[in-house]
Amino acid sequence: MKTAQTFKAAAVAVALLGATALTMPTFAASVPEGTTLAAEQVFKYRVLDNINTLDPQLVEDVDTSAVVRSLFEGLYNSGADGNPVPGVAESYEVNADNTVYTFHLRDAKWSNGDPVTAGDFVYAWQRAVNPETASNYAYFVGLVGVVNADAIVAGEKPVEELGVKAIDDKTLEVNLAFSSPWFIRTLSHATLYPSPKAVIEAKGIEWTKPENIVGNGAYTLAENTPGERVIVKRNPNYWDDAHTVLNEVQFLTINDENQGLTRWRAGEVDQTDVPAGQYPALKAELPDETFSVPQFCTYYFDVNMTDKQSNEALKDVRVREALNLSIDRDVIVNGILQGGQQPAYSFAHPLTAGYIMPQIPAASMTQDERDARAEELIAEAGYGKDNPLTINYIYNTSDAHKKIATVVGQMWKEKLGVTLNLQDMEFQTLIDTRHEKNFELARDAWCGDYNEASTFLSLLDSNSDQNNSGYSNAQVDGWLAEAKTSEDPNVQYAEVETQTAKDVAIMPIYYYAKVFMQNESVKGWPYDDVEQNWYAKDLYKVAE
Amino acid sequence: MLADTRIDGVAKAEAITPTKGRSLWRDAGYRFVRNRAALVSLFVLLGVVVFTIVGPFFARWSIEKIDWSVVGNVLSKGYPSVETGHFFGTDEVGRDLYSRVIQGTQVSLMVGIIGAGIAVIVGTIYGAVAGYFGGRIDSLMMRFVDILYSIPYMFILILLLIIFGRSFVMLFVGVGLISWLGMARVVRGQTLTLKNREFVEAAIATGAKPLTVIFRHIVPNLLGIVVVYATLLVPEMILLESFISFLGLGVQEPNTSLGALISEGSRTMQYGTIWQLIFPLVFFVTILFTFFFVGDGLRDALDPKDR
Repeated sequence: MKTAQTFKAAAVAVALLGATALTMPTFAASVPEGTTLAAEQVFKYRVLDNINTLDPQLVEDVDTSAVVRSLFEGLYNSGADGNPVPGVAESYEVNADNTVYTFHLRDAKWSNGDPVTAGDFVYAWQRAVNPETASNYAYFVGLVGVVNADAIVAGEKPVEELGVKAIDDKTLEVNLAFSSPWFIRTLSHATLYPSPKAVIEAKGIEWTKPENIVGNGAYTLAENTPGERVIVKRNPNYWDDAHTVLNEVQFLTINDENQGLTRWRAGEVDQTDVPAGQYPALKAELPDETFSVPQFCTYYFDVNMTDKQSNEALKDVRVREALNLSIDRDVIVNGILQGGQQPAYSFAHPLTAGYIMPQIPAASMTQDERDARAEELIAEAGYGKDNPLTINYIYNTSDAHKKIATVVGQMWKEKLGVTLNLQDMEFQTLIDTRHEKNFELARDAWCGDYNEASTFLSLLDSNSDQNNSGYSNAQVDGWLAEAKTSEDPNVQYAEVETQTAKDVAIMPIYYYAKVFMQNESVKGWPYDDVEQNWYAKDLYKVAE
Repeated sequence: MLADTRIDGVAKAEAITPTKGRSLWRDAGYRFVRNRAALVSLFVLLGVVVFTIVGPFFARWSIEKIDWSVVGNVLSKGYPSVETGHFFGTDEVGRDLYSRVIQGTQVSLMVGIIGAGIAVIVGTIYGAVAGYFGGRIDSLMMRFVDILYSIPYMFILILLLIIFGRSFVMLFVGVGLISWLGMARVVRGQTLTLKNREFVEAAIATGAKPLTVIFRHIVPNLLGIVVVYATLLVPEMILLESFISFLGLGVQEPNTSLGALISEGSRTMQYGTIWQLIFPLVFFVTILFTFFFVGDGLRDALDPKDR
């Protein structure tokens, strides 16, 4: 999942939240006894960019996913600690080698009163892989292992052959191409949500408009003003509506972190990101409302590896390596962001369950050694201060992204004589430009969709729709395929990370932390979930 | 001969004390100098211009060099100080604000002067031609101006900057495209009142060609109003550029302009780094005020009706 935000944060959360975790509900907002709830249960959440399409099979960014999570519900949700909790499915059975999952659905309803059936899931999943839908997440269904998904995406098989079938209205059977013990963890992702066949067929592309949309989540769409706000209201037809506390959630687009903070202080939003570099001061000022928790995302630069870009220098691995080495991550993390982010030299997030981060050579060097090596490499490649190189960089408008770009540009200029031209654009334009491979260097960030290393590393597969750098290495593709059936996939993952670091198709900068200000009255936030998949139905506001 | 000597005498007397003709320009000069606000503003403005030329020689940091010792501690280390060489402090990423303010002022002044310059050249010629020829040509030319006027220029400018990328050239082209419209209207109106005056008729009677009449007789008589309008146009152009920069569409990093600096400064003012806003703002306000006062002074001086 893509993210437009920049910085989120650190390990302080564990001690702080230990007590909270004990009282965490299995599902829905569980309000401890004796709590006085606030009279007005409206949660106002600040987002950086426009909320894009609300079609669950088309969603690709983090903030829009948060909206979609409130409008739709998958088979399983992720709980307060990130582990799966039942959603539309009440229970499941799995065969011995983890390849056939059978789900038993509860009596859930769509917001128009129709029952949610196994057929709705079959329809949605087929829709996700159908080439006609042209979803940038089509590959996801194959990634999690559903039989024939990749072939259907490639147009080689009809959608009906997807390995998912409705045994009856309440029973869904999923066949996987490989043994996947972590399959349940992937079900909270929007691509695998059900979608209402009748509505989509009747309304076509207009079906996600507020007057047409039908969902099965805890909320229904009340308003969608592009670039301004999305408002969702409580859905009385939701199966667990009795336990929902918040009546309304407002997603407000505020395209500037500083303005977000001003409005948070004025009480206009309940949650906002901390502007880059302001975490220490705000934590000292408002210790109970300033949070920094690790987040399951990696910030990196894409290098366009395809022939669609004409900068010959970037095709030289020595130049890419020199650029990569001369980025001083410590300055970015400790000087610019200051919110508990961790410097990154490889792609997958170190907190990924079961993942052992391989030792990348660059990570163990000192910055002086890296700089010295970078200068050697750029000289070998024939560039340097006497033959300066110019590179164009694109990013989505945000103060923090601009700061990082400025600082990196200056590091390159001082160490390598490289001039970095910056160009900012709207987030959706950036996403499209990256998919079209119409750039030299681009800002990118990836948030894991489920807690397993393949959610990151699969982006390096030459066939991935989200492989924005256009990196293509047959060996890497081979290792990724092998990892799916491997006893210990960490062996292959280490190979993939080492090879990618050698080829420098991406330049990882840092691992995210979610650094945010949250009004004291808001309770139930999943601080312990590294994926930071929050559900509005789990939150509640207490009286102050 | 008596008569001759007398004439001779007069001629001699005149040769000894020639009467100085008081030209209109000279009169205007006197009136301008008597206008205290305008005169002071002119000197302040010249001071700012001189500062943007001389200032860089005293700068110890370039506009894009990051002071790595300040990064992350802007509040405690990046304040204005002579010791560190950051006379105006540093911006959020540790770049020297002194150099950046100077560069921003240069850019803003350039945009203002080039924008007004285009307006003077294109607008004057266009308006004078339309007004002088009159009739169908006038109608066609002025309707064209009306059409351009009715297009929301900010929208066009933003589109231009997005489509062709952000650069100095595009900014000047965009500003130049719209700046001359008002000037053309003013000049045309003035030309209409001038073209039937006796000296123009005399010129036509002596067989002067239309273009000669326009450039020799009409345009020089328009100069007063053109100068006044141009001085008032400069701050308007500066404001326009600043607004575009404030929206994040102006000149590209690492270059900057006063609008961009103010925009950045205003975002961080709540964190105590107030100098990031104050310095560019002082220069911006000073330039605008002085230009407006000088413009006002010139109008008072050159417009005979207000005498």
